[in-house]
Amino acid sequence: MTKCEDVRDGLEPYIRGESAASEASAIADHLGGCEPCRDEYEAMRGLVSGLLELGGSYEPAARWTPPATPRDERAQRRLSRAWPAVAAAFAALAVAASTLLAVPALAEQVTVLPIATRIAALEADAAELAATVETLETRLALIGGDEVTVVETDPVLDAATNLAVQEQAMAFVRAMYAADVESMQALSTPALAEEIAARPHEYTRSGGVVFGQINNVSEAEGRYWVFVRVSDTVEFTDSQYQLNIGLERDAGGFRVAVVEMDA
Amino acid sequence: MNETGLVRAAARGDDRAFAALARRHERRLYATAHSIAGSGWDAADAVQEGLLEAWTRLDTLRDPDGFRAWVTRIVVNKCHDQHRRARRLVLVDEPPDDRASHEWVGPESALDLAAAVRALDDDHRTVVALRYFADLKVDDIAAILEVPAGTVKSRINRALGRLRASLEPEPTEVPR
Ligand SMILES: [Zn+2]
Repeated sequence: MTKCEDVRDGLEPYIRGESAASEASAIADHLGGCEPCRDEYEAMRGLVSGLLELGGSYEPAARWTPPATPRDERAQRRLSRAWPAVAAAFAALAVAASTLLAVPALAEQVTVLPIATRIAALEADAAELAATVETLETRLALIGGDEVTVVETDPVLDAATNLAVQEQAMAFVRAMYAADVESMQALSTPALAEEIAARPHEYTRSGGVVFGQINNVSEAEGRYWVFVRVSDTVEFTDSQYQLNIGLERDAGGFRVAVVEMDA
Repeated sequence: MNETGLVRAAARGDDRAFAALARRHERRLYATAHSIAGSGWDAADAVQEGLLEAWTRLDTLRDPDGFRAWVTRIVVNKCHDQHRRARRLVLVDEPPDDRASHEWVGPESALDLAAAVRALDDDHRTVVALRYFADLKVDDIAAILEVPAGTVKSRINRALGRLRASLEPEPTEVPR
């Protein structure tokens, strides 16, 4: 039996829906059988909702207007600042290849598993992935020699195309982290190759990269997108970010046409 | 678009997405700053400076879901900067102008509660602002104030108790 005092101490988070499940059910049970605590709860709930409402009750006279700095300039600054931060010695692709899996044990056990299992392991991505829990499965796949967790979406692409674009994207990411401009250019469309030649430091970084998973592969208007989640050995060691690699088909196969860094 | 989508779009340089985010948060940010800064125009400055900093530094935010806590922290820091500046300055100027820094759009019945919050001491007013005006989780508040989560919880409970006491109708004499 929970004491009235404990219940009252826990009422505020309970009202906000932030109590642990076990505590919430203990409080609910207690409120069911204790009238003074129930009165206290009602009074508290009224006050809490009044305070929450208060936060929206001031309409500030000054509204946000973006400064006159050209957006492109800012985007440029953002990109060039973000990339070097990611950079570090590429020492460890060999090492990375063996630490690709967030959950190495999974490799031995199963090759297909519900994504819910992965979500438990990849807490950082949980919110984003939860929405697609029901339709997705993950699979461990060997892509370009790296064992990567692949999230399978509805198969819009045939298997050969699917594998080809993923291999190309992974090769490109490896080249980025190897600061291997020539390889990157060889994997790119002529336009991107030129862009890389003009601003190599924005595309290359030296650092160990850990491939988290390939989140999605899609095709829209002739462009294939591979979303690769990675973390690296320096800046993003505790979280992942996403590289959106856009590819186009040409006579010789697929070429990387665009690279975006995403949250 | 949901918040996470807006944050991502804004981080990629989409200023309309950032404007939408600012629109979405500026009331609560203002209410929070107003509670911490004391004066309405100081609060307005803190919000504008905070949003500007968020706009330029959005690429450093790792978790897009954490935008609200992050931008609130920036605005709170602006309030504290102002406080430090104010202590170094002897104000000789007139207040900037006599326009109102905000319009009250809440119900009239909430004015007593607003006054009761203003009457709290700094620590309790701040925690109320972060918890209810900024609508943050206890852990986020603890991080912003650099105090243990337990301290935040006890301040919240104490503040609620004081608010209730100050809002309770004066006991009337009952004739015997
Ligand atoms: Zn009780």
